[in-house]
Amino acid sequence: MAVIKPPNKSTKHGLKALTAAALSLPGVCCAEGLGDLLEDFPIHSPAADYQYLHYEEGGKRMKADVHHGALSTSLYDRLKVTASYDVDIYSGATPEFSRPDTVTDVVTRASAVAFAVSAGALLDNPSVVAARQQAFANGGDGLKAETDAVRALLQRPIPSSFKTNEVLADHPEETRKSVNLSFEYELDDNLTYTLSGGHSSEPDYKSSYVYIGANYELNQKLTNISGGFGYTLDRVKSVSRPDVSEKKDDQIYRLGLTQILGKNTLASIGTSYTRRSGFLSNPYKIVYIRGLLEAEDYIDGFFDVGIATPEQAREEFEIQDLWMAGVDLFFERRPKARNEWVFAPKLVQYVPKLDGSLHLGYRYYSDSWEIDSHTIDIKWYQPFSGGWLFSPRFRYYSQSKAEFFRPFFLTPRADGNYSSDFRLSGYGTISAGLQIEKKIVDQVSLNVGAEWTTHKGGLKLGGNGMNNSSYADIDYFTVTAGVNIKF
Amino acid sequence: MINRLINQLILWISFGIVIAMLNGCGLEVAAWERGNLAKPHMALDPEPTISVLREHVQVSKESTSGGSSNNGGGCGCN
Repeated sequence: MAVIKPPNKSTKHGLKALTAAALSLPGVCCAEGLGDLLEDFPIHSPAADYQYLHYEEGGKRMKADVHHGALSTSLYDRLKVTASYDVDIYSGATPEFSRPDTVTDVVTRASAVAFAVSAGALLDNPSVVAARQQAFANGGDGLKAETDAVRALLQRPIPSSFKTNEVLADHPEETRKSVNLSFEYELDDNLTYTLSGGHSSEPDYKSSYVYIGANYELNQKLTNISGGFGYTLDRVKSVSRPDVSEKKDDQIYRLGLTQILGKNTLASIGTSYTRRSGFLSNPYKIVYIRGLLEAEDYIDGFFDVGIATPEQAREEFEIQDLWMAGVDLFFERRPKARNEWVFAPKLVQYVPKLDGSLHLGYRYYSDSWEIDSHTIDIKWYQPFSGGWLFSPRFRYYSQSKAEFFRPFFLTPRADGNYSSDFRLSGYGTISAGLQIEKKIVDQVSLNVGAEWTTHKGGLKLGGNGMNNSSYADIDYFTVTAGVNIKF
Repeated sequence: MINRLINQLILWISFGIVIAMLNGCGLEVAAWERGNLAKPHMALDPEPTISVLREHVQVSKESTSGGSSNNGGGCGCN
């Protein structure tokens, strides 16, 4: 971005005077050589930010509280340092799997001994018990009668009038903490380097990243070219699955162009390519897959082989190395690589009559999972006297579904990739909100905001995102509040 | 088919913007004419901190992301 730096000499001098006074206090620092010390380490326009966000889904599902704190200052005239710390606290119910509502008595979740519990549930099903008793009463083959009855349950026809039933799982309160450090170094008036890194930690997910970038201003600072490379390494675990202790990494390459088009107009184009590889599944999401286990597998495995756990089931049967979670239920698996391309132009237009500005953004996204998305972001910034800034905004987002997404699977897939995570479905969202900022004094500003979002399969571009099913539709809202202090 | 046509249309419009921007290189906006561009709400992202938090929500609820200059890791994605 073309940057126009405001003069900050008065702030610098005022702050130096304050710092000098503080450092000359007994026990803080030596008064001797203070001038040299301050000349070597000038502190320019330090700033402190605190931002709070509350997120809440309708239907008493997930909610989260996010706290973000940041401090930034300049060391030496050309080096800016920013440190930030984030804490997210979240809890609530989240979708675990989905199934036709006509099989809710058969396709059931199990505990850690998933195979034994699942086979036991099938054998205890009233229709299987009745078939067994009838066979015994008639002097017939009880085992064959049981097997036929279990097969009838597993292969129960799905009528066209079915509705999708979404099963939620309670998520205990969890906390994510994240620390980030960023350096910006101005090599000269035109070239700025950026180096940033951070670490994020929660009980089942740890993530570290580093990013290096550069900005180059040319054409009398009318044009800015930026580029960068980032690398993220994540470690994924599951509190309920001992088999999950996996890694994933992301490489991101960015290129951007910003151009001043006139005294009131600014435009930019951002592009990126991201390569994700490793364990890209969500270890808590489950899929219903019919046909991976047959009736004979459940009965033989239960009576003859003595299988109990998901691990034993995985070793004994051809279930594509999936981890069992219940009757025909398995933990999802996504491809181990994902290539993503983003193209995002933006226009910023100042309207002199209103002293306001229009921010019009669009993003096109495409990836190797066959997901395309379109995002339109419109914001209006309207200053008012007394230090007020009002900003209404509107956002539309639409994505197509991942190639391996279905609400459930009535036949196994050859590649062994399955997901019923509604975030991989085809859908659209509409968001509307308002952000208000109030400058209290020159150095202190406060902000509050609220945004409401509706997520629907039917809002997908072209419609019919979830085959006209609304089971995954959801509304959520966020409220924000923050303070920014410049010293 | 309609989606593909829309995608093509959007890509061509985007390329049109690029060409317009490159033409803009011939523009001259003197330093003293950049007062409006220097207004805080004319920054490409006038509220970067709020953007980071909102993007964190979007990343956890949507399958696609990118297009901003924000970095960071972590999941928090239930």
